[in-house]
Amino acid sequence: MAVYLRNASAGSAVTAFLSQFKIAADGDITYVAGADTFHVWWLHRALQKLAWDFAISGDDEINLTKPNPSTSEAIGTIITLKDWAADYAISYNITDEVATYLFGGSVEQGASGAVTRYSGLIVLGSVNTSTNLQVIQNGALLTSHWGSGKNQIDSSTLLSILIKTHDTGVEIDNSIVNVKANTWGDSFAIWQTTLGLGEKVAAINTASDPQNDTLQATVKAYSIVKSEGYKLIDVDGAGDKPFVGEWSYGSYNKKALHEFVKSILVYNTAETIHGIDGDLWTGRLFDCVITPGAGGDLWVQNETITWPGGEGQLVAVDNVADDTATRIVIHLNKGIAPANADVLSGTAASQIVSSTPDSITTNPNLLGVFTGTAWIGATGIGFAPGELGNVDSVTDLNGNVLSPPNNVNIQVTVETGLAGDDPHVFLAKKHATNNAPDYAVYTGTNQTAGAGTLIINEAISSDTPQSGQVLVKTTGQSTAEFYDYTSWAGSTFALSGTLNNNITNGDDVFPAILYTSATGGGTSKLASNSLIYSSDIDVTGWVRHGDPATPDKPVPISGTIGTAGLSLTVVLDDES
Amino acid sequence: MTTSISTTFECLAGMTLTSKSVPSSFGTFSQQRAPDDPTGNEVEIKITVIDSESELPIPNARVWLGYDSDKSQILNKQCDVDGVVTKSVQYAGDVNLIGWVREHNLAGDDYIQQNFSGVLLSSGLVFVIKLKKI
Repeated sequence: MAVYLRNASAGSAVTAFLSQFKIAADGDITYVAGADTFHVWWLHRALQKLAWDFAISGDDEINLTKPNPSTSEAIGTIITLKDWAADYAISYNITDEVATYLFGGSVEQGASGAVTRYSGLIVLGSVNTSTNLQVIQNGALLTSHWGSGKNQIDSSTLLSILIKTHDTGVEIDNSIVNVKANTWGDSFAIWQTTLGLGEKVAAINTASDPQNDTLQATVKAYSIVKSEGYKLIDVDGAGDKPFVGEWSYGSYNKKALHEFVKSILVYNTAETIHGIDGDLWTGRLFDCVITPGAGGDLWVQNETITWPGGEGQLVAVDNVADDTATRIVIHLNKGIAPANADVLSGTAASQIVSSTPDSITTNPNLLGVFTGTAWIGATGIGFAPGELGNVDSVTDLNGNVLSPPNNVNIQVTVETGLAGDDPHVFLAKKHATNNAPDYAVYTGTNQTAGAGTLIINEAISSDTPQSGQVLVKTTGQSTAEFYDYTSWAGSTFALSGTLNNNITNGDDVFPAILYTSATGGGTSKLASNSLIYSSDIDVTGWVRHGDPATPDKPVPISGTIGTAGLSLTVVLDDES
Repeated sequence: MTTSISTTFECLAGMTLTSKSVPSSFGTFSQQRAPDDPTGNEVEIKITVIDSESELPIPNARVWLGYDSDKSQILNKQCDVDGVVTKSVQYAGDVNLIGWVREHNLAGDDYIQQNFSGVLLSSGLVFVIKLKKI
């Protein structure tokens, strides 16, 4: 297979071209056999050669008697095949198949008003590993005939091909294409370009992604749950802000989440995001302010939305009811972006755009940049606030860059003798002087059994876990009793249940860091919680497994919760 | 004795020519009235093809000439060493002619093809066509 560049030898290029294609007397240019590729210049030159010949030869049926087959402009990068249908019953044209063997410019053909155009696309840049570039046009992947590259005429050229952008007088998707590189293990890249006459550039560069080194199959098996739709999240303690999605790594870590989302968007994926095949995700998001409608109809998350000249997917809406929805985020699938006064129409609901929509800056990885320790979140991407730290940076849909507080994790890993063991972990703030937990951090107020809150006399410290267990030693009892709480604010813990006993003003209250079972399927169990770090916290406690059948020796634990949290490992020793 | 009038046309390749002059970065041609031939109805068509820059003849240029009305062929020839093709035809009244000149043999210089048109008069027809290199 040879690649005939613009500066190839005329004799050899034209001979090869005429060998590979048939030029019929009616102007049809069709593929015969061969694998060579040609700069569009050689289409023109080959036709001109035939048109100079007196005689026809083989399957090339053009000679001097025929009207001019073609013209060339812009140094041979804009080729026009002439239409002489009216006077000579000849209309020179190539087929889609022939176009796959051409590069370096554009080829236009057909009568005025019914022009078909093949536009040149050149992808410049570099990729870290062999990459099958994808080209998206009109909301669909173009069938690749280029594999991991074609017509790489120099070291910076990844691909040079023709794309059909006009078909018999109809422009295809405004001549827009998106080029994607999404190879597992590499950074992802997307580039949109508008094609036209001649050749236009798309720039693609990828590098090794050190945070994407896990086997793809392993990552796909993660039990992380996709998060889509409009979310209000308080990531910095300053109130709810609007986001798209609230991504959580759950029992994994940030790297796992980073890789999980890449596995949705990776080349040849079968996954979807916001209802769109991951291969077709181009990250073209538009934030639309919409006028509330008449009511009675609902928007549906991930449904297809249309408007004059465009089609997209509903990524987020602040309220699904059309009489209260005021904001909608759309992924542009094809056509042009919605404009002010356009009517957005879903399956049932429709509302009018009331200002020029904002284009949202997105990231090819969707979530944003993951440095290995921190997120630099893409605009509008939401994360579970408890999994963010002060090293992270997130940007809400309004464009505000938010700095989360330093959420740190406290983890106690317990290695047990049997998978069925149920070790209990207790960890609490250490008393200021005693080598023991501080059982009297706060004092309770008078409360009646059955209440759903536990109110104390003091302000709850900001470095108290946002959820967990709070313990109370009520008057008349000698031992503290624990309650699960789901949140706290000011001086009030919101309980998941209700108080079992009355609380008398002054009763001792203290929140635990951990007061729970260590869980896990094997013999390695985990208990964890998180809190917002503000200063070091000395903690102490123990791990116990007192199952009468297979008891283990209690193990005391202690440490200091620092800026990176605290991680302890305990190996239980059989006492049976 | 020769009396001649000369009208120079310029055109973009592939355009229909008119008597109105248009700017061109391509070739040019000029139509000249041939010498009067008072003796009979046979008149001569003479086409000379030269390089637009050097104005030297282009021997390998090939010319196709036909009637504008039905596109039937009058001549289909290669120029001689002087860049000239000639053809004698019967004159039966003024008639519009069209044609093109090509030199694209892939050896040495190739040229942008040039369309031309004119009127065959009782005095015949003489074209001088300048081709531009590709």
